Amino acid sequence: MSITDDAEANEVDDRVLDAVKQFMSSLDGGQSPSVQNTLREHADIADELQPALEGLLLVHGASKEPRPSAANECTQSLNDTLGGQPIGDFRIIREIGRGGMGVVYEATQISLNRRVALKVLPMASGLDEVRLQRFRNEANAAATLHHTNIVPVHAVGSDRGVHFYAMQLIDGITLSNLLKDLRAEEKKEAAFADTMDAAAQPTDLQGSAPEAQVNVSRAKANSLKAECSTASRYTTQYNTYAERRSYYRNVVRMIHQAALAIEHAHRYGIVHRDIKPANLLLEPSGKVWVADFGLAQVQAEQSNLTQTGDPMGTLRYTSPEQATGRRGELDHRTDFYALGATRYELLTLKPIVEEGTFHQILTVLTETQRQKWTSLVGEPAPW
Amino acid sequence: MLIASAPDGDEDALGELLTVYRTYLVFLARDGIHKHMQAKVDPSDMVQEVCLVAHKGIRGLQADNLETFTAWLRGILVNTLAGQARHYLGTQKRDVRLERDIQQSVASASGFLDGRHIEADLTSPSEKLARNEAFLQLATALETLSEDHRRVVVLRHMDGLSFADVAQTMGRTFNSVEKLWVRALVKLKQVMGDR
Repeated sequence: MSITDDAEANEVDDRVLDAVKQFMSSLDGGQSPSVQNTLREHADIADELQPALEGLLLVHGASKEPRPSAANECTQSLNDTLGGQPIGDFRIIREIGRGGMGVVYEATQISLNRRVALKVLPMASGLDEVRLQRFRNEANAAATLHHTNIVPVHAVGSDRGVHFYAMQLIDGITLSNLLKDLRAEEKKEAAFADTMDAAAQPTDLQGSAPEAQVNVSRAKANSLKAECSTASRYTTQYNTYAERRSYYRNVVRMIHQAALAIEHAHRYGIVHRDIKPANLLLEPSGKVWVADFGLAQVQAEQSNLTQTGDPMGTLRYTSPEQATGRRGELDHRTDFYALGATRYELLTLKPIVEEGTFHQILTVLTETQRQKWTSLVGEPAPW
Repeated sequence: MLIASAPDGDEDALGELLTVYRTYLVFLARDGIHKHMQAKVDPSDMVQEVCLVAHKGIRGLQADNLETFTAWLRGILVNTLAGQARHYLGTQKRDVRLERDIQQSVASASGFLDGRHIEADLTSPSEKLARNEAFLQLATALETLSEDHRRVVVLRHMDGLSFADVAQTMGRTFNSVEKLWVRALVKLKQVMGDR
């Protein structure tokens, strides 16, 4: 077999090989080279070249890794690269969120004329060919998930070296924003007299933007915030037995929905690996969505602990095996841990791990017994 | 639609579906065997086992679309491969890491087959069907290639290796691997036809 293949292989004209490789590197650079034009340029070898190029298009994802230069360009000035032009099939309307993981835009998918949430990944040069391929494979696998509580992935691709991930636009807030609101509310009550402080809270919220998509118009955001504030007035004060009970019930309901979604993904072999409040979206109706399946691969690259910024955001929900970098031991249970940490925080309004340096957190994660949450907020209502 | 009658215990419908999915499963099984066992296991044997399990389990399946059905089949394949790997390694113990690795490579291979078509974001039912067919066709075409042709395409385009790494993995020279690759692309195009 290999002898015949070698004989065959030797029949390939070097000019054909060069032309196919050149074509591939255009594809890799995020361009869409035309087969017809390439054949015209190489008219003398067109007959041999054509099936090779067409075969390449069959196996080459329309998006491949950007060339290093493109990648650098992209991190240096994402906005310049985009230059107001559509990214692939998507025209950007406005920015709706920004985090360590990239920027989320509200966008129109041109061919279908529908609104989507477009997450543009900041592809640092750290992402090599293999990792990028793995990311695409994973994202594609995630896109096959169908569950009422999983944000559907519409498309994965790249354009001019910019990698993106398009998903359904969800009208809601992230649970991390809900938590911020609830904490702000709690603080407001604690420092009742200090109205200035209370007024400053919403501004803080705007500053530290969410990582997952927050697809709310300003007006909507305000009304939602108002709702949440109303809710929190009933919940965090723990004034009455019934109010506390209703809040706990809501938390359990939200976590239950998220757990069903995560279980569904696990059944198909897909581990989220970055479950946290910022990746859980809450609709005004009370429905919870799990976002960003298939992105953990890139996230690990981006939210590297050496990076400035807020590694806490994710580290706080990281399972001990994940935090200590024992990647080999990482499996579906890491999602259970992270969901548990999220539930803990929603119930107590305190992060499961307090602020601290990376090493402190790591020590707490791996060596300390969790405090029983009841010791933090008192016994839960005995319903 | 076939998928509608399969869970109701229509054996023929399931049989027909499995025929369509067979080469897809063989392709995934081959990749899984290659990556996780050095044993001479025939992918067709694995797929045979998957089909038997599918026949037994179809009644419990709640699948209203082909994606769910496909994912379900993949899950059975992962279990089958993991069982085989345990057998090969001579261990009875469940190895969570091994299972997860197999799961990931199967998901990755299937993402590769499905990858090209998601870009276009096909949403109408007929487009979705076309997409379903497309990944099955690609799997079938890849299975039709010779071992060397298939490997060069898989290593380069699915595993994302550079030509230098492909050459090393296949124990060939850089130049011969590149040319083998061009031949493989031509063959693939011929097999897939003009669609």
